[in-house]
Amino acid sequence: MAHLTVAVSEATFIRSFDLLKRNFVFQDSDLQDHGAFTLGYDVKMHLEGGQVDLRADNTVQIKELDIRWDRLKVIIGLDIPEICVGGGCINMPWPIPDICLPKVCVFSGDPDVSISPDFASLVAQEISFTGSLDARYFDASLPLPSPDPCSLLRIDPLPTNNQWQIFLDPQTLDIDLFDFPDIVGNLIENALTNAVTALIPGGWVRDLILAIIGGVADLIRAILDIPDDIQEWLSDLFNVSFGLLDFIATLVLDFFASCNPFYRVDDPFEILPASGGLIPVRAPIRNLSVRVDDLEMVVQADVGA
Amino acid sequence: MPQKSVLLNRAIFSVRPYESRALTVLTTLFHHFSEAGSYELFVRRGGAVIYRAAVLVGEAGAQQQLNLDLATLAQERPRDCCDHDHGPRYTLGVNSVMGFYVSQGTGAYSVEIARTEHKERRALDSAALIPAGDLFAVTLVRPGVYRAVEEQSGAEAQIRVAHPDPKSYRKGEVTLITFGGKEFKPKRAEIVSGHSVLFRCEAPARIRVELVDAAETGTRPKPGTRFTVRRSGPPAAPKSGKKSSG
Amino acid sequence: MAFTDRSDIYGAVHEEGLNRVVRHIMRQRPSLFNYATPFLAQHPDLLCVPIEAAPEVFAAGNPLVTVQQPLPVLAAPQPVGLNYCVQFTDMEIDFHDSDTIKLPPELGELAPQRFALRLKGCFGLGCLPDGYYSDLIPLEEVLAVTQAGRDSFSLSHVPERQPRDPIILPVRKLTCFCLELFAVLHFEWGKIGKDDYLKVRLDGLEVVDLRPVEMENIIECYAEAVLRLGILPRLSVKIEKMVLDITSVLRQQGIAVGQQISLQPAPVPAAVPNNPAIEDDQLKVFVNLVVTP
Repeated sequence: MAHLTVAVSEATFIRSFDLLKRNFVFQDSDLQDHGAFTLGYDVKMHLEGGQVDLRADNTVQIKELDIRWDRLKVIIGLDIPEICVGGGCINMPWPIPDICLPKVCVFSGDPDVSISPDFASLVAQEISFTGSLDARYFDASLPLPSPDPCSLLRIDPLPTNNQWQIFLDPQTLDIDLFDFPDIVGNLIENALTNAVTALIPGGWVRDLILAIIGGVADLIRAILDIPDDIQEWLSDLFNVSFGLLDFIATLVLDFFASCNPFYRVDDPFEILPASGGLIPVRAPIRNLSVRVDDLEMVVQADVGA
Repeated sequence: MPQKSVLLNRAIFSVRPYESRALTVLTTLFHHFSEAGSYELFVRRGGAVIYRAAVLVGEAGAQQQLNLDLATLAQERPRDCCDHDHGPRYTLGVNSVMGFYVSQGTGAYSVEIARTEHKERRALDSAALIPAGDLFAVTLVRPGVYRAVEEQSGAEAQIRVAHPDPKSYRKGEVTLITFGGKEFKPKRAEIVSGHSVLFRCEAPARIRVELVDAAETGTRPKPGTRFTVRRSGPPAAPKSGKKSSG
Repeated sequence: MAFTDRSDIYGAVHEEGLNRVVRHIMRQRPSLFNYATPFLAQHPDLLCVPIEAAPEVFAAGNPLVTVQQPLPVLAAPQPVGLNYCVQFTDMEIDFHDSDTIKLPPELGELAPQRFALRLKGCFGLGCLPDGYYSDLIPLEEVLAVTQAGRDSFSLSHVPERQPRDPIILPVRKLTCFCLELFAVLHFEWGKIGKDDYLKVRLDGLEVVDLRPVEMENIIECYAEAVLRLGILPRLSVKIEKMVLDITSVLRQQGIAVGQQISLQPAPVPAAVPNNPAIEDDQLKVFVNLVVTP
């Protein structure tokens, strides 16, 4: 029989998970230059809610963990093409060569427009994962891997002494795809249209320029090469092009599975503290193991000789 | 995304007469070099010479057209320039055409071309006349009706400029009008805003194009469509002790 | 039935594990179990039982013994002190049902929720060899007479002397004896300051077969005082330690979000019949999490 047994009720385990989860914050930004346009994102999220279930098969299931976006900005920049009048060539009778007229352009350079609408309140996703509890021995004398994948995810500083650490180790994780509502398409189109037309004076001048560029909406679609559904295009951007889903999934996995233990037991374990100049009394902890059933988590270990 | 600072080329949208003797934005003068030789080019602005260059016409394989932006002469690219150290130099073929235009700004320019060895023989003095064989182009932007006038002969032509249709707009359309000495042919032309009219001068000419009737922009209400409220019946009795004057 | 059916957290130590812990305590806090005079502290090889101390004790310069004043020789005009040591060794614990320690009949059967303790108490005295008496007796006789003269002639002008430092003579060997002690104890929760601690309480003590009985009783009485007032209070363990301090992460992160998380023993008998409990050869504790926003 094991020398030491410690059991934590499901409710206490859930509290541990809840406190750990509160410390998870993810933020990232990126901008990709595609020549005629730039696309990027600026996002920040945290985790809320979720149901924790300890299961009889020695696994822990986390369901419906909400991703709450504090900031979900899409950055779209367009390089408005040349808008010019004149130009064109005309055949002339011999001996005069064909004459090409110069074009004169409306702007001194290629103007840019950029928008960065925030869709944080319009998007919600959930994460679910199932994992086992894993007891690992942390040897404080060993160097950390380089680069350290936990440098930005670790909540508490690394211990200076050896420890047994208990992690929740999900093997797979599911995240809902980004699914932007229909209104997002209109918001983007309106924002871009307003940004483009703000460059142009009103009245017949605008009529001419809009005629030259063929209408703002069509211009935008042509530059961005997007089909009819802007929200579908946007969803693809986030789900595939930006690679955000992969990134978030990896971060959540690393956060729980590698970087932040649920529980720690120092080795050797201090039984009596230092007192009056006398050293603390510590006992080595050996063979620590952990399991769960549908009611509790149980840790067992031996006292070393 | 860093925002570039761009300026609107307001000269494109300002309405004014377009004259061959004072080249401005939206006008282009084309000189036809029918004879080989060595020429000197003078560009004036406000009467003062702002630019001089040599033009060598006749070299085999040289370009047949060169357009020069008078507003950016200080930034002229070296490759269009000189074979020797002092002054810029252009090389063109026989029967080539050199175009002079203004891309931006409010300046008005004139161009003079003379033979290097016989400076008194001016091939071109745009401030005076367009010589026979040269061409003058105007790009018309403001929709409306324009009148083209040859100032020596009084010949006139009418040019209608229509609003552009975004669905069918094509860039770079050019309409040719010939001045034969007494009249323009054709006398009427219809173009779309942003397109150009090219006047080919078979005789010396001084051409001016001006807007005579601006087209409706659609923002002002048409006459007879005002919203009016008329009171029906006698005026209402005043509520206080004052008597009405009516 | 789950361990945590009656509390948020459950902790248990098997008696084998606890005996190992006791051995670690004895090796890392030798001065709690070994008492001796300064001379013997300098010469631990003369002690009755060699002290096995952990390397960390030597590395930290911690003492092997708690230093005590020498045993005074009563009535000696020139004070003389004898070197001595008291050592507690071979401590072993056996939970109810007792299967490794057979208690003496005086302590009866080990009751439920109790545990038996067996340990050896050794006493060593540095008796004076005959050779020292021949040096000391003349001195004592002179002082004895001088003191007597002062006392008889109360009007004499013999000046008051300063108290004399005792003479502590070194020894080459201690005369030792060891006694076997048996005790019955139990655990209970209690506050020290504002924190909950697991405390050890003595229920009974027996020294085996010492005659005369009164002498046995006196020695038992003294040993009981040493255990109750000296050794056992120093073995109180904070509540977090009883569950391997497994809630330390939880408590730290609670503070970060403004929550105060502390541990409290589950109430008896509302939640559990016994807390702590000694059952199935284990010490079991039932602990609840208390969260204050």
